[in-house]
Amino acid sequence: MTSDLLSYLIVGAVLFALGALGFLTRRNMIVAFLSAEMMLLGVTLNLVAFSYEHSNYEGQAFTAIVLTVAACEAALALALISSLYRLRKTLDLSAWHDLGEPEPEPLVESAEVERPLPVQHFPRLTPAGHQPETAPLIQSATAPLETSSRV
Amino acid sequence: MSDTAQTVILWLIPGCPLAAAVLVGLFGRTIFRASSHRVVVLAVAVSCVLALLQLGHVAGIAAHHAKAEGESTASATRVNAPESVRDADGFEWVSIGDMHVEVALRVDALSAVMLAMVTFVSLLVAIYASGYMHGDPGYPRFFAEMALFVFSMCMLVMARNFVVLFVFWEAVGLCSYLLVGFWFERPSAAAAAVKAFVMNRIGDAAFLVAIYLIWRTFGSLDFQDVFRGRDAFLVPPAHFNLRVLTICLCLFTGACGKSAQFPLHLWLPDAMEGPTPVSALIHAATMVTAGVYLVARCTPLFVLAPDAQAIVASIGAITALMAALIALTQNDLKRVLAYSTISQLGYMFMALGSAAAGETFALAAVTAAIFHMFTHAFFKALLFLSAGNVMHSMGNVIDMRQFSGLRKVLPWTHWSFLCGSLALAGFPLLSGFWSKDEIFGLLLNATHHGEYPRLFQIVFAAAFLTAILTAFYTFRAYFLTFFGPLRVPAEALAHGAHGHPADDGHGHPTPSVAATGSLVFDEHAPPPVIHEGPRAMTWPLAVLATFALLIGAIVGPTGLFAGWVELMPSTLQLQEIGLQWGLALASSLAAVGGIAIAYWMYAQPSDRPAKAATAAGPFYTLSLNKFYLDELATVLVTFPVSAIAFMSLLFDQGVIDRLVDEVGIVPPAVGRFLRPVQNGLIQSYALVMVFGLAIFLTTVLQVWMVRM
Amino acid sequence: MNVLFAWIAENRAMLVPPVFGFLALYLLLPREYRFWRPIGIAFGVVALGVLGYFFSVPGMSLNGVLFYVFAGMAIVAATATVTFPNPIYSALSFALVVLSVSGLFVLRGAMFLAATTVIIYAGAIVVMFLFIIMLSRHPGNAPYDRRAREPFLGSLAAFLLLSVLVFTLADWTKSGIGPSHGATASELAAADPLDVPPRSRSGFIPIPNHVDPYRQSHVRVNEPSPLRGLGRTFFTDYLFVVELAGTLLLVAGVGAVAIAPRRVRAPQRPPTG
Repeated sequence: MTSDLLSYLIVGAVLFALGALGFLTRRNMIVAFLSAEMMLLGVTLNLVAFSYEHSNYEGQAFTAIVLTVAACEAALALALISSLYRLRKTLDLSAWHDLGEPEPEPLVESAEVERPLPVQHFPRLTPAGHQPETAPLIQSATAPLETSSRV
Repeated sequence: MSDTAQTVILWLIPGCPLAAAVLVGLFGRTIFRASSHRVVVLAVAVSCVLALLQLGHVAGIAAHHAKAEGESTASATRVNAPESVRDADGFEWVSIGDMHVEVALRVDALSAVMLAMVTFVSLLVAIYASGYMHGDPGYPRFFAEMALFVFSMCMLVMARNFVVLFVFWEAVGLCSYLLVGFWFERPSAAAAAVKAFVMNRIGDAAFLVAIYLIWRTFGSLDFQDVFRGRDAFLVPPAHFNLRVLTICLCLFTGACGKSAQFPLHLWLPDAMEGPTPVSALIHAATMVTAGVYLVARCTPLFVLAPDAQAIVASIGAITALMAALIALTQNDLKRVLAYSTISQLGYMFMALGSAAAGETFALAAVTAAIFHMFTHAFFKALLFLSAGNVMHSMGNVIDMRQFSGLRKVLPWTHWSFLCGSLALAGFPLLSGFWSKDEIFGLLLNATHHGEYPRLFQIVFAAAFLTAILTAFYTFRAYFLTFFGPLRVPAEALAHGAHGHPADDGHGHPTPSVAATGSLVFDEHAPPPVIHEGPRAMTWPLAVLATFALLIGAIVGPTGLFAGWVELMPSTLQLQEIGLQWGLALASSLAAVGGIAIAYWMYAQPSDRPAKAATAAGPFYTLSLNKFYLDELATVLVTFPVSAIAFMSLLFDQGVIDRLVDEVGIVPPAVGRFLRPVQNGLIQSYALVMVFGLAIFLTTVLQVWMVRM
Repeated sequence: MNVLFAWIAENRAMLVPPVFGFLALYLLLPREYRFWRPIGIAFGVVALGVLGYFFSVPGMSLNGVLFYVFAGMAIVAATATVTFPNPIYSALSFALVVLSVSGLFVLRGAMFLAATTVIIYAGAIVVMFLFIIMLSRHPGNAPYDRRAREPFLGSLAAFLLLSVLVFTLADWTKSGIGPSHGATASELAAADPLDVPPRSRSGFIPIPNHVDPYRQSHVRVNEPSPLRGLGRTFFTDYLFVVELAGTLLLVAGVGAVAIAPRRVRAPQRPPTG
């Protein structure tokens, strides 16, 4: 065994661990699923590294299968996520705890403080074919306000 | 008479009332209803006839002996006539090791006399009760319980050993509880029933100790084994005296509980809460005499412990005098009669105790006691039934302050009550006179012979004083009730002619009784609604009155009664005590004197009673409040027991219950602790899985490394 | 147990990457207060550096440099995927991970797989995710994105797992314990070219032309290209598996259509007026 292989294995292990961490920690269903996919990616890296090490195509073939399975899984998972979103209107994975014991404190913070977004004013583009509105930059007290000409 | 026939007949005596009790108890409400009394009266009548047959048998043998004796010149030593005893075998009940208890019957002279008296009075009271309890919703229950009582009393009297006697001793206590608490919805009645039963139990505890000691001392519980005299003992002579003294005292304590002697007498006045027939039967004639019967039966033991006999006499004297003093001031007619019963029972025990004069006087003492019991049964039952008539006609009012002058409207009752009162007071030549006189003779005898002359002098003085008081308070009651202007309480008119025993009848004088102003009527025009009860309530009174007047003279001085009782199997010798004329004269004077004073004070309404009461001052208060003995018992006994019960309650609830609850808290606590693990979140479960995986890998690697 | 402790004590230095990595990610995971982030990044850099030091590819060949670049990018992007509160950034970081890993595939001679991975993962999956995210967005960051759940326990679990793997690999670095199917050059040279492993009839993977000094070259010039070799393998050795994969795709397609929610009809409005 060469250290070359070990380096690749380490990378695969790190990817796997990080994927596990993401799956366990993040509450967004999408991100959790992405982390699961990352775990698969780590495993495939391991397979490919071993395939190179053993100088045959076994690892690569298996990786292809893994890829196939990952694609199927992603399709089904997304279908499920859409359904779940439609039911609870949230992507929070913690919202689905119906099979658990009743909790004294709620998992989903219903009274979570929504930090108010700063009101953003985006510049509006005039639709094509219309005269652009011209409003004075500085509102003077004497000058009458020019009404916009809408066509 | 063949053995089988004899057995059957003897078993029929308790068997008929038992059958009646079962029948009426099971089917009274459905089938018999208002005819329940027929079954019971029939059964008791059969028992009575058969019991009289037994008495006849004993009387025949006694007559035979008397004739034989008359032809010889030897003094009467005709004891222990075995042919007077009739046996009926039953079945073996307990057989453990050496102890064999057989349920079997034996009727000897003493039993025969008691049986005859018990069944006869029961019959009359049952007939009376069919009229008194008419219309009561618990009519069948009453007769069932009464039949049960008669059965228990018969079995008690016919028992052959101490265990069977004790079982039926308890049974009569139970029947007393049931019957005193007959109107159990009344809290006072229920409480009185419980009080009676509990105080009985105190005596019964001592009785049980006595039975145990008898078992240890004699090795057997059968009467004929125990009463064989000194050679029956199994203990060495050194322990002998103390042992027999203890046994006798324990037996006597049991008798005190049942026969309401000081200090276990407190239940009897309260037991007047029961219906009047119950008071007449149980608390006058039969149950309370069971104690006297026990002591009389155990006379062969008592003669071996003269100290015990002295104590018996002393307690009897204390009780008699105290009860008489209390009865002087009571306002409730039934209470007066109850205290009178206690007092007369004291007389019986005084008689039994006077055998301390010597072994040879034991049979005479027993004779006197049983004779007094015999006569007392009749005239006390008569008095109670008359009081029942009064109560019935007065609409369940029995407070003497609320009625008077009833002789004009209740003639039958009046004459019955008068006969009973005269007998109780010991008016010369009536039954009470003869029996009391025998007792006085015995007591006087004990002051000459025996070891306790001084004691018996005091006892005799007390007995004599009590006789005077007895006459006085009896006639006080009589005059208050039947003399003076005609007054009736409002309830008498409200209830109409058929005063059904209602639930709120007065049983005892309480200050909260609404003093419905008694209605005074003109003497010459009594209201038509006050009249006697039905025939069932008057004819038994007539029979009893006849007996009260005559029976004493018939069987007393003629020696018939003595002849019957002396056939009691025992190893005792007999020495008779003749009639002493001086004593008879003195007691007659006492009786007449008491009657005269009562007449002077109470025959006409006057202020003499009030003046006497104020003159007596604190003594009047003491007597009226029954010497505060009830309150004393409450403080000395009830409070500590309640305190202990309360502490037990606290312990049970605070410690034991709490311990159990604490144990019960553990599973939910553990559950609560572990529940957050299952929160239904897959990420949580996945977390645990990853941890498990890490640990698993570590373990596998370790194993692998070790193997390498 | 003592063996375990001894083993850990032997490879003490290998404790650094997992521990620092644990601290790094614990601090980097989404939380309310953002000032932990720089500290987390610092820890992460240290962890990565130590890891890189221990598992270095020797020599400054292009192979090695490319490996460091791709591996570093992969790990950093993976960290970003896991720690960004914004799910869109997360998805885009994932795409970056996929690209890096594909680069690593290329370095290991799996060109086809590299392409396939990019197409499927970054091209299809990530795009789908982005669509879904955009269809169900909260204005601003959703509350469930702002705070991770169980950051401590999660990091602990993941890094416990990682440390087991890292320790094992570190051990194998030193002792070389482990099944070694890799034949040495002399062995391979001595082997009969026709003496192939029974499973694979399609030959060996050729290595790139850049000579790796640690690796003996045993390229057979008459070997097909990697792609062709892979294709041959698919249709000879693993034919059944490939067909099965196709069936699986079909089933998944049907299943996705079945599970996906129906288009909700617009509710019939009662006619006004």
